[in-house]
Amino acid sequence: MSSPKKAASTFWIMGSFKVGEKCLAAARALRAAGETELDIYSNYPLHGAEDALGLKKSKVPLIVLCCALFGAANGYGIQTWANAVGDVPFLSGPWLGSLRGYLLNVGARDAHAWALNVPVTFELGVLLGAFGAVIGMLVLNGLPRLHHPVFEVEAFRSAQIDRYWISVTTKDPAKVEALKAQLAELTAEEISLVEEEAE
Amino acid sequence: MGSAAEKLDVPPHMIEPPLMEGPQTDRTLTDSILHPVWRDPGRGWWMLLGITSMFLGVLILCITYLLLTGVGVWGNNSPVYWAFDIINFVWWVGIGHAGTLISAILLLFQQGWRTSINRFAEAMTLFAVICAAMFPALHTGRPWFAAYWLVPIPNTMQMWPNFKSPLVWDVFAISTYFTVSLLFWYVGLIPDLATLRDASVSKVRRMVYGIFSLGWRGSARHWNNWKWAYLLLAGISTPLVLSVHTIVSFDFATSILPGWHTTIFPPYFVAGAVFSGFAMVLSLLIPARKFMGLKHVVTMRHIDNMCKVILVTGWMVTFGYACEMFADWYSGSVYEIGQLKTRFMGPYAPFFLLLLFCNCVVPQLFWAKSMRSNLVVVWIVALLVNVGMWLERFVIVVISLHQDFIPASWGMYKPTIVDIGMFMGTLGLFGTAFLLFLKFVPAVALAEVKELRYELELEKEHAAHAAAGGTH
Repeated sequence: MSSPKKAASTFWIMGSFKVGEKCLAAARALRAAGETELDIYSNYPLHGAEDALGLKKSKVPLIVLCCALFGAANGYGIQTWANAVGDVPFLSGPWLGSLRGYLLNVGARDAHAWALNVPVTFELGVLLGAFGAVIGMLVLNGLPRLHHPVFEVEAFRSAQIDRYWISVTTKDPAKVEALKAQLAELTAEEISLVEEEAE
Repeated sequence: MGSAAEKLDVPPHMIEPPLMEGPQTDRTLTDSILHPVWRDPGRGWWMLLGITSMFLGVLILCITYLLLTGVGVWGNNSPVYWAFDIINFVWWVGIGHAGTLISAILLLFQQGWRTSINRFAEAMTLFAVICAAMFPALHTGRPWFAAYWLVPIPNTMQMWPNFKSPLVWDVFAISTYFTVSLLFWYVGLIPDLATLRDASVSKVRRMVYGIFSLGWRGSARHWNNWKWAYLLLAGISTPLVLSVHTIVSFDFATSILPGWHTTIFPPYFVAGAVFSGFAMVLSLLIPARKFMGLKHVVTMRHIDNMCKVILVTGWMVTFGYACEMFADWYSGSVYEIGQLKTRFMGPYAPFFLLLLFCNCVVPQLFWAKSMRSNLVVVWIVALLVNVGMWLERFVIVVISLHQDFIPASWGMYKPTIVDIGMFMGTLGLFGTAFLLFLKFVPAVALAEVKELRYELELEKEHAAHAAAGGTH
């Protein structure tokens, strides 16, 4: 807070294209020129954008797998605990309070019958897997984030309608003009600059 | 495809109508699909909303009366312990299934025609499951106590649910189904909410849609994760939707009652669910696409495909009935055969015969292309299938219960005014929710339709390229 040296601002240089392929070509050219802080914005999943930006495979599948297995294990565990574990001595101390299972005997059937645990195990696996997919996707995307530098550009509204935008980010003010020129050369339109001040 | 067909001199009636009509650009699609959200909904919408919210009011009245008095206000009696509540529950859950089938299973099979109808069908799923879940909860009489025996909540009574009961499985299945459908629907909606945010002129709308779109920027990084989340949600919804009606059918099939105690139930419930769900999609979609100007994205091809699904699932259901009847006869059990006779000749026989007519005979009209392309016929068939599937649940629940083993315990069932009020009330709730959905959210998944447009264009280019290459 009292640091005398102000952190450098980040500059967002943005441009738009009418055609998705041109946007991809621009991203490839900028990446070849050594720019790494690139992004493409489109109103539907633009085919080839991951390759053009060199994005890694999403981690969502791994998150979903972990969450689903956790949910299924919980589902199986709670059923066994609630219906098939009775007053096991070392599991029933006062420290457990009301959290004790109850050996439920219905018609002298097996207390633990795995086949009957399948539906709830499956459902809880699916439930937690779905939460994993949605929450994982949001967290990996840094959402919700209602405010973002790219929204400073009024024309950027068209990114969600019919245009393809590209952004390149730099902390070096000296590079800004060169990047703008480069975007213009790559036939980008509506070239704009947003300065994100460091806090 | 079109050009190839022309080359081969295919007669015109054999050429499939397109998935998207007219030359479309991202801009025209955005404008036309968002138009119903921006425009004044008009008098017709308000009138419909008035009618549906009146029925919603009836529902609230009935529920209040029920909770203050007790479940005795329903017609359920001994021996018909389950009646309208469970019929409506199964019927509504079944209707929901088409939404998930369209959004998840057809996505996995890469069926392009699902794209313009999935949002619509998923919304239907959500509202139908809400209507469904209400009935078993209220059937417990005091839903606030039901939590103890349905959900494992630690409590001072040390009471746990009996996890060997299909009724408890049902609670897990339905609540998971609702939650996953809601998540799936919302994930698909986020990019469209961002489009609404950025296409809106009024500040209030911009803020509201801005909050609900969570700051979506359409960045390639977003899409990279979004595509996986969406695909995986589809992947896990597919076994989920099959499990839900299977578990619902276990409520019946694990008992020993003639008419319920049969192994055909799980597959035949799932097929019936898809059958009734597609019928409901058609009943709603045919008027909606006309009044909302969506004919260019919901084309005759979509309607035609849905009719074919109805025809196929109709036969699956018919096969299910046949299997059930054969098993009744072949069992040699006097009770099973008695149940079969009761269905054809008992006091409720007209309902059973009407069910056979609606579910087995009427859909056969869809063999003819001319019937599938006549919207009035399609709409009437869809309504009759809905009626037929409701009657099927009436037959399963009431007819099986009213005459079981001992003639001394037989009895008749008659719904009370509260039963009928609650059923009409859920129709009102469903209709109200659906009308609000049509007004505030794009009824067609815009981002996905744009992607489809892109893919169709690529396909066309490839075809043109191949044709050009072929002549050289």
